[in-house]
Amino acid sequence: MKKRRFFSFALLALLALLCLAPFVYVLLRGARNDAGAWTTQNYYKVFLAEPGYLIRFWKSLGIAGSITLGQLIVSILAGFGFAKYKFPGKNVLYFLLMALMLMPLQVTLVPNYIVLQKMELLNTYHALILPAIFVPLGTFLLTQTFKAVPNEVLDAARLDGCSTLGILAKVAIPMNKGGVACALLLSFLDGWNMVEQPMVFLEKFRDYPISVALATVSPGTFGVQLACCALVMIPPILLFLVFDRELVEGITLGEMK
Amino acid sequence: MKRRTLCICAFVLYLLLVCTMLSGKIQEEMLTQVAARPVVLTEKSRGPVKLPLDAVWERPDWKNTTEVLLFDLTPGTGWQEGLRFTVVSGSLYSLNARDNTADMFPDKDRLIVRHASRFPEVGGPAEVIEQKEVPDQYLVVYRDRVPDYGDHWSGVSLAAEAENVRLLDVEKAKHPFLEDQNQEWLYQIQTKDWYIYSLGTVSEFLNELPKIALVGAILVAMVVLWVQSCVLIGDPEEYRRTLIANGILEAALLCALALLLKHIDLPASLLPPENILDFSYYAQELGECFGGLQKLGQAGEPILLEAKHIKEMAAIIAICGALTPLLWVLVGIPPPSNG
Repeated sequence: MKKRRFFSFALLALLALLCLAPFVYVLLRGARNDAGAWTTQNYYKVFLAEPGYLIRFWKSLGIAGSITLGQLIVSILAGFGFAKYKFPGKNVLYFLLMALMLMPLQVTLVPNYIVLQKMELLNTYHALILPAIFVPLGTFLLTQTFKAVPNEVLDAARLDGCSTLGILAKVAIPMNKGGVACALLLSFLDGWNMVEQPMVFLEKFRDYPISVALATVSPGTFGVQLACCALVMIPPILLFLVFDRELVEGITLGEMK
Repeated sequence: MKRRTLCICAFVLYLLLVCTMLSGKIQEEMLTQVAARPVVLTEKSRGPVKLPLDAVWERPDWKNTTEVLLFDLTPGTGWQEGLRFTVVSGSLYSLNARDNTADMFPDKDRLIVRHASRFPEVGGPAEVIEQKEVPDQYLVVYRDRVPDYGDHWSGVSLAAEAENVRLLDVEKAKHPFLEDQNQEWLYQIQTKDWYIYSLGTVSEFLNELPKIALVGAILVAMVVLWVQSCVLIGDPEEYRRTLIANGILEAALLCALALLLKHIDLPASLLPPENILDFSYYAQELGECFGGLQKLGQAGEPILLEAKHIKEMAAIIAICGALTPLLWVLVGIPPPSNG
């Protein structure tokens, strides 16, 4: 028994090491110059000397934040509707949603471009935010989690005189913190890491979010690139630290079921 | 625990906001100041464009020989936005030792760099400045003994001299000060055998020290207040007032920092070439300058006294600024309630 526990621990430790190694490499290698000597020059350049990196960081945060907020609102409302209500064409709509979800991004890139062009939204941040708000992944995820809410609880709330939005806000969402946290994280990461959409919908380099601009940092400045990677890592790590309990609860609950 | 995590996350984002403000200011200050000479394409119709020899820069290359370079400024793209230094191809100019000029056959309109606050770095950002003429004092520090004061330069008179330093009164000194421009003007050669310090520029730098001390104090206050908030947020009901006050103070400090940074203007000739936080560079430069002034005795006293007063003021601001948030932390924590 002890041997098995030790073996499991060793295996998990090795897996954790393999997952953490790239992050540790980025942080440490960013603190070295090309000759291999320790230096703060790369981090100084990214965080203090040149505002271009941080300005793009804030732009990306604004874009990702807007996408996350919009997607959460749409996904929560749509997910609750799909999970708890019957209406004509529900199954067809849900099937279309799943089909869209399975399609690669590149399939919808050109149709989106044409629609945005007609709406005169190209070269604006609306072109990045609006299509991303209606991505179906969040809706699919929250539909599944809202299905787990017992109908008896909702009926009891209805009997107490709670409105539909009140049931959603005071009963369904608090019971599904894990699912909502998961949807929030996934939509944020989607917005934070987007590369193709800015390259297609935005013309000027100065408008690019940091995910795109990072790819164009001069290869001769490897240490600066890695220091920039360290900057880009910050929001997802912070978000995970805030929602780690809900994520673990969500995973555990799913496992129990 | 979650409140504390949220507070720490907010602190990290707040720090990044402060870094954004500081980096904007640092980039502005670290721009290489350039006195440039525009060369227009149509000029070459009248023969080669004569550029003064001081537009040509010399740099030792990897073979230990001297490389001759002509720099111009071109608009950059992508990450390299703004005016950037580029090297003019050697095929477009030749050195004319007879006239002491560089003869250029421009292929397009160019902005040739004549003088700069530091050696141009290819791809580095630059700012073209308009210079005005103001009365100033120059301190020339020689590596060896001071040479004989031979020909009098026009508009320059000898104020004092000692060992290896010389103080010159200059009627029409160019401002902002560019050392290589004045080495060329005074000695017809740029070299490491002597260094020229503009006392007007040194005085400007010293006048900024109290503001820099205040920036430092504000940064310390920000960190101390945030750390206090992260600790006290574990019990928000008991420390509600302190937390609200801290929030308001943090916002006020951010605004104060933004306003203060707007009013700081450091002279480019005294800034380090690579890293504005290279304090050893400041110590070396100012140490050499003040060391030279001390050798001049009475002639160097005014600025030495000014430096002493300003350093004391800056130290007081820094110490008070560091102590004030600590006092606030002690005052802000209410005494434990009994029962």
